[in-house]
Amino acid sequence: MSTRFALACSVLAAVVLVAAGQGSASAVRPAVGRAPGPAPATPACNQQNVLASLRPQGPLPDPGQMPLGSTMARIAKRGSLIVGVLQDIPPLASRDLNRQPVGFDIDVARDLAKAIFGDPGRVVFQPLPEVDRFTTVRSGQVDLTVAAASITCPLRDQVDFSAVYYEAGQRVLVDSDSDFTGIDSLGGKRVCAAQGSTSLTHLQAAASKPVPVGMATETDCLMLLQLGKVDAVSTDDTILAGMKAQDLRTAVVGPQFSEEPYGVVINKNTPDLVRFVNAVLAARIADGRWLASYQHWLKPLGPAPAPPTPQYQD
Amino acid sequence: MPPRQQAVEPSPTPSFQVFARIRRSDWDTTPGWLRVAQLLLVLGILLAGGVAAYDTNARVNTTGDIAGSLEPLNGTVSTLYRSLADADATVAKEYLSAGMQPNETLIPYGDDVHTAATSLALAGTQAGAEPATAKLIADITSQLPEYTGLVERARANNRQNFAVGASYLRSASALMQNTILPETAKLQQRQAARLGDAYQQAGSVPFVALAFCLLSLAGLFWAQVFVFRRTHRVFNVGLVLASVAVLTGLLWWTVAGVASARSLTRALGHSRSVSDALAPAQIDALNARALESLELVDRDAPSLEAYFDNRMRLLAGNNGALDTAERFATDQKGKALVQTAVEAARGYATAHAGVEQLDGDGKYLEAVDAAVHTTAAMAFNRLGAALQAAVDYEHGAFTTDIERAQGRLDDLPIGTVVLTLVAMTAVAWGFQRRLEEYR
Repeated sequence: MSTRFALACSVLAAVVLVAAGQGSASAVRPAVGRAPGPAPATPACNQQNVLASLRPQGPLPDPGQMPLGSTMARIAKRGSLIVGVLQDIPPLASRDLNRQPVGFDIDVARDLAKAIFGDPGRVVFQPLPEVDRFTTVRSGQVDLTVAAASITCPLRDQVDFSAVYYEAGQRVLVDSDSDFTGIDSLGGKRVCAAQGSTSLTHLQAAASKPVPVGMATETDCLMLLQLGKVDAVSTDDTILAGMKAQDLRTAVVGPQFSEEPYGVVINKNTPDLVRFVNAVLAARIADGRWLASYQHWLKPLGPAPAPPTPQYQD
Repeated sequence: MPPRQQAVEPSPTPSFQVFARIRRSDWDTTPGWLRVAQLLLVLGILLAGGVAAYDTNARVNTTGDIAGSLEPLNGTVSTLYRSLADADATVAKEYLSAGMQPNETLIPYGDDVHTAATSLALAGTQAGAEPATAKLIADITSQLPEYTGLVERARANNRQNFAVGASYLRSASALMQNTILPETAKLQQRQAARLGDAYQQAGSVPFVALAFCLLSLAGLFWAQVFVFRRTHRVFNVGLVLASVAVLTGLLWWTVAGVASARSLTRALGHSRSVSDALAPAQIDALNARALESLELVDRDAPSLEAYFDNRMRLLAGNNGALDTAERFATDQKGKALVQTAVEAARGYATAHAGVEQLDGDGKYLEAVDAAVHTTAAMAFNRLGAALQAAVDYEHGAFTTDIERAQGRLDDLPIGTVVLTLVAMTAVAWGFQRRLEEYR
């Protein structure tokens, strides 16, 4: 059974690699390796400024009153905001029993639609394969993507990010009967993460030297854990909480060993949309919608932390 | 070495002298020659009849094998292949429609698995002692529970609306499409090869038997000339009767053999139309259908659209399965049925593009509805029905032709034996009458 499974897995992995090779190969390229050229509009990305997003300008326009000629006006004219989402990572994004997209990420998307149209329902959810989260924003297939995307310098080369809307961190999920206590106890053990994710990169860099196993999606990892093919799943604590809800005989253990600041993914060519989104994110923190959304979806992670403090650049 | 050679050399001469003595005293008279001719001819006809009877019998047996065991096994393997692919397509559709129309597709999936398991057991007994076939059957048998296990986990998770179900479903489908179905395809190719060999054997020209028959005829002709020269009687009733018997046999043989071979060739055409073209077409269609559903179920995984396109190309593209089926089709009805299937495939591809379009526009619910209940579902059902109609037609034509081929050969073995006995008796009797004149 194991060899056959390995075969099925490698087929899946191959699919991922092929797909990834087309669009996001540069995601693994360090930012310092960028070819010299005309001076970029923004300063070079580094650990200090990676989270700095374009500052909102002025107060939010009223819904239905988007500035003339802006990206938001174009979206308003179209009649709906097209948002790229994942759909198998509860509690961030999944489909409820009526097949409606729900989750912490989905709330962000609906609030953005509400800010443009005055109606949170004016949003077209475009489910995306994980590997296509960034290429679809670049190609303009979607206006923006809210899909548990961690802001990193390599990705900033390809796309723009909003300010941080949630600070997740990587942890591990293990069988609750096992003796594993965290990433440090998993040296030499098989630990699974999604191909092309920052989680997999962090696993490869982990000091305890676990054996990283890359699968097409995070839920594939939960499946492998249930089938006894891997010893642990490692990804953002948000997603792990959703996995634990699907399998009560698992446990999220150990401390966070990475920071995963989530940002809304936006095309580099629409800076006005970035500023608008940042204004909406700030507003929903200020008026308590952020907290309400946390209480509804992320409560199992513990008492609500302070909302993220946005960092801006001009 | 030289001395030894000298010692051996004289030995052959005495035996020749014995032969010469016998020949001089007994053979070299008209009755002696008549006796020799009688013996040679009776033996010759016996040999020719024996070879012919053996050949005919082998032919009848092989044709019987085709109709009675090889083709049923072929059918069993086709059923297995189709039920496995159908299970894959059905379970993905079921997963997608869960909650929309409860349990609507539970029964077809259960039936598919039941059929597959039964077919495997049946194929095991039908395959007999063929080791390569038995190994493939054992492999598939051992993988089926693994597949159904993954499917059950997918379904159990889907009942709870747990996202991990999609991973189980995709793994099950990958196991089916990448491992089990290719092995089943191998099994089917193996069967097709065995069947092809059998057809070749049953339809080959029986040169050896024909040569013996013609030799007997020549012998009879020579005997009549000889008898005429020695006894100055124009016709020997026995020899004429024997000639008529052998000629009748030869004619019967040729006509029945050619007609039977022709029916066999037609039967083979129908059989290969199913095994080489229409059955693969059904599998490609079912695989495409499974991928269509899977794509809507498991959104976070990379797109499967390229695989779908590939399946449709294998089905209806240039030199695809339906192209091959059209080449195999021998009559108007068969061609028309394939043409209907080609159009149905086109219709399904269009309907699927509609599903993609809906999905691309973010209308997920409409896309699912189109895939599971309306446009694409109906187009696929039409395609499935069109393919099944073509398979049924070709299979019916096969049955007719193989029965015809068998019917042509039915009385031949016993007829050959009777004619041989007639010819032998007639020769013996004919010569005996001449010989009696010398008493």
